[in-house]
Amino acid sequence: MKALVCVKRVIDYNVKIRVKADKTGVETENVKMSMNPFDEIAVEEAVKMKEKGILNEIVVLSIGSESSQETIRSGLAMGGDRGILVKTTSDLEPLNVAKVISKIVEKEKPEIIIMGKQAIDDDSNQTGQMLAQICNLSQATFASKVEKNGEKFDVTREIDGGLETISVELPCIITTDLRLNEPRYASLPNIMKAKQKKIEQIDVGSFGLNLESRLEIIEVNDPPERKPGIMVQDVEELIGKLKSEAKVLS
Amino acid sequence: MNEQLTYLIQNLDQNEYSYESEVISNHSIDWRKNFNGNASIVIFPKSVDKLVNVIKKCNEKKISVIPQGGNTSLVGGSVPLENSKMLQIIINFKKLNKIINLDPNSFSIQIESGCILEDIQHFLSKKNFYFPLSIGSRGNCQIGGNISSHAGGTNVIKYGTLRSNILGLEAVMADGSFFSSMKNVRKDNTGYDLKQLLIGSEGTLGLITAANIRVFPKPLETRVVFGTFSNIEDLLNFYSKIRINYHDLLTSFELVNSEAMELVIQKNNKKRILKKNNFYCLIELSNFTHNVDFFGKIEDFFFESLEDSEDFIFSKSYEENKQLWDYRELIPIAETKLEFCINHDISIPLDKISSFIKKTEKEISLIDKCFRIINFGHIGDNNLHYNIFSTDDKKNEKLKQKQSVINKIIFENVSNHGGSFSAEHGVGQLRIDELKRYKTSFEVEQMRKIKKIFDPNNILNPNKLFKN
Repeated sequence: MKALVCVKRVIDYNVKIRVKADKTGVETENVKMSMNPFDEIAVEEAVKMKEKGILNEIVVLSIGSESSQETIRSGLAMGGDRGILVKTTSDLEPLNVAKVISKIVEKEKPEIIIMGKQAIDDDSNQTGQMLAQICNLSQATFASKVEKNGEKFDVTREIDGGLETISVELPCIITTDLRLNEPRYASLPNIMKAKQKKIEQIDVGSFGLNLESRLEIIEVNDPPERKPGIMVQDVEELIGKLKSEAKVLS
Repeated sequence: MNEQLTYLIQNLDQNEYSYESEVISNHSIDWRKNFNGNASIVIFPKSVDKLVNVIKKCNEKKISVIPQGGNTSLVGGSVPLENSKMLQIIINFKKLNKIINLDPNSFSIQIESGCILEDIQHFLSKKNFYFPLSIGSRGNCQIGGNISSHAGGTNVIKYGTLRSNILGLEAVMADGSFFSSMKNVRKDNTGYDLKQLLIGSEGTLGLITAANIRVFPKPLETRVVFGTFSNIEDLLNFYSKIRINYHDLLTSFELVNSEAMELVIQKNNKKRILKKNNFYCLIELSNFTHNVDFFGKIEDFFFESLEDSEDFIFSKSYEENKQLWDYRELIPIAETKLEFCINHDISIPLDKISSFIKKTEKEISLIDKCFRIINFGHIGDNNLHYNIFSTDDKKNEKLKQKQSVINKIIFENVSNHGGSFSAEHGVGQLRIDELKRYKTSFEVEQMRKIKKIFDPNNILNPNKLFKN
C-alpha cells in the first residue's frame, strides 16, 4: 500500500512572529523555518504504518519554493521513501493547494493520504476536507488514533466534548491531530540516507490549473497587547475597578 | 523597630523596604536551602541615590550589607550569615531594573543590575541581538548578581567569559561613593582596571548598580546534536575536531554522563531517546552566515568524523532544540529530588579531564560502591559539575558522614590536575576553606589587602570569600 504524506514549510513554532512594517504579511526573511508540526505527526504515522507492514511506500509531498526541499528531506530522514516538490513561488490558498494535491493523487494513486489537520501559519484547516471532495475520497479528520481493520481504517477523531471513532474505506484521507503520536528524532545515519533519496520536481504550471486567489489579505496586524496587571490597595478599590474598568460588576 | 533601622529607612518610600518576617525569611535562605541566615530588613532601592544614602548610613553604623539579586547562588553568597554579631540587612536589586540603552552600532547594552537575565535575552532577541550569557537560572537571576559572581553558563565557549564582555560598570562603594566607568569603548588602557576587580568579587568590594555589556548578532539558525560515546577520550577528541573545523560556530558543547542521564529519565519522566551509554554530549551549532546548506555540510562532517554515528540525532526544529536541551538543563532539577547529593563545580584542563575522571571515580567507589557520580557540564569550557549521590537511600547517612573525605579527594585531584575548585559558582560561604587551602598564601594575602582598601569597616558581604 502506498501513502502520500503532505508537508508544509512554515515559520518554526518557537519563533516569535513579527508583522511586516507595511502590514502585508509577516516577516519571513532570516527566520527559522520548519515542518508544520501537524505534518510531522502525519509523517510519523506513515512511518509507523510502514514499520507495521501496512504500507510499503511513503511519498512525501510539498508545495512551495526550492527551500521546501529541506522540509521534504526532514520527512525522508524520518522514514519517507521519496519526495515530490511542486514548485511555485506564490502563496496558494487551501482550495488551490487541494487542487494541486489532487493532480499528484491522480498521478501517484496512493491508497492513503495523510496530512496535518491544519498548518500553524494560516490555521485554515481546509485542505484535507477540500481534497476529499475533489478526489471523491473518504475522509477522517482530527485523527488521534488510527488502526487498520481489515480493508478499512478505524480512526478515532477528536471532536467537541469527546472522541468519535469512525471506519473509513480506502482510498482515504486522514488529517492528524496533536495527540496521534510523538514524532521521532532524525538519526544521523537516516539523515545521510535521506540525502540519497529522490525528490522529483514538478512545476505547478504544468498542471494547467486555474490557481487564481479568491482570498485577498487586506491587512495583517499584531494581536492587541495585553495590559499589565495592577496592584490594588484594598477591597474597595478592587470593587471600584471591577465596576468602572472591567465592567464585570454593576 | 530598632533605632538604627528607623534611621536607615528615613529617606525610603514605603515600598522600598520590608521587615515582615515572611519576606525576610524568603530572602535569607539560599536556593539549595543549605544556608539560612538572619537579617533585620530587606531593602529594595528604586534609585542609586537612595542606595547611596542607605550605604553611607550602614558604613557609619557598621551594619552588614548583603547584596542580593535573584538569590540563586549555589554557594550561599547571596544570603545573610546565620550567626553574625553585626546587624545584617539585605539589599535586593529587583527594583533597579531598567534597560537604559541598546546601542546597535557599538553592539552594547546598558542595563541596571536588577534586570532579570531572561528579560534581557528576550529584549535583545526581539531586536535581533544576542546576549553572551545564558545560565540555568536565567528566569530568576539578575545581571548584577551574574557580574558579582562572574557567572559562566553554556555560552562561554563561543562568546568568552562575562568578564571579557563587560565594557563598563557602575557601583556604589562601601563608603557610599559612586564609581562610574561606563565608557562605551573596547580599548581603554589607562592604568588599573577597577571594574575588573568588582567582577567576581561577590559583593565584597562594592554594589554593582549598572553595566555596559557587549551584545552579538543573533544567529540565523541554531541546531542541536545529541549523541553518545562509550568513553570520554573519544568524546574529547571529537570535541577538538569540531572546534578545529567549526571554531566559533560551535555555541555549546555539553557533557552528560550516564548517571546524570538516568537521573533525568527517572526523576523527570523523560523518554529514553538514545541507547544507554557511558557519556552523552549535547552540541549546539549556530549559523551566522548566509551559506547555502550550512547544516547539510555539518551533517556530512559529523557522519565522516564519527566511527559510529548510529546514536546521534540532529534536531529538526526549535521545539526539538528545546526538548534536547531539557536532558541537560533538567539535571540540577532532578538532583533536588534526591534525598542527598554533594555538589562540586570544578574546572580541569581539557587534556587532564580523562585522567581526573578515572582517578576520582575509582577513589570514590572505594569508599562505597553505591556512591556514584553525576557528571555534567560545559566540557567545552573545561567546566564539570561533579556531584556525588548514593544509589541506595539507606547509605545517605554514610554519604553525609563521608562528605569531607569526598570533598578532599575531589579537590586534591582537581588541584593536582591543575584545575580550579570553583569554576563558575564562586566561593560564597561554601568554599571558604578551599579558597584558603588551594589559593597561594600570597594571593589570599593580597585579596585581604584589597578588601581592606575598598571596605575598611568590613560592611560589604562580610565573611564571604574568606573569614574577615
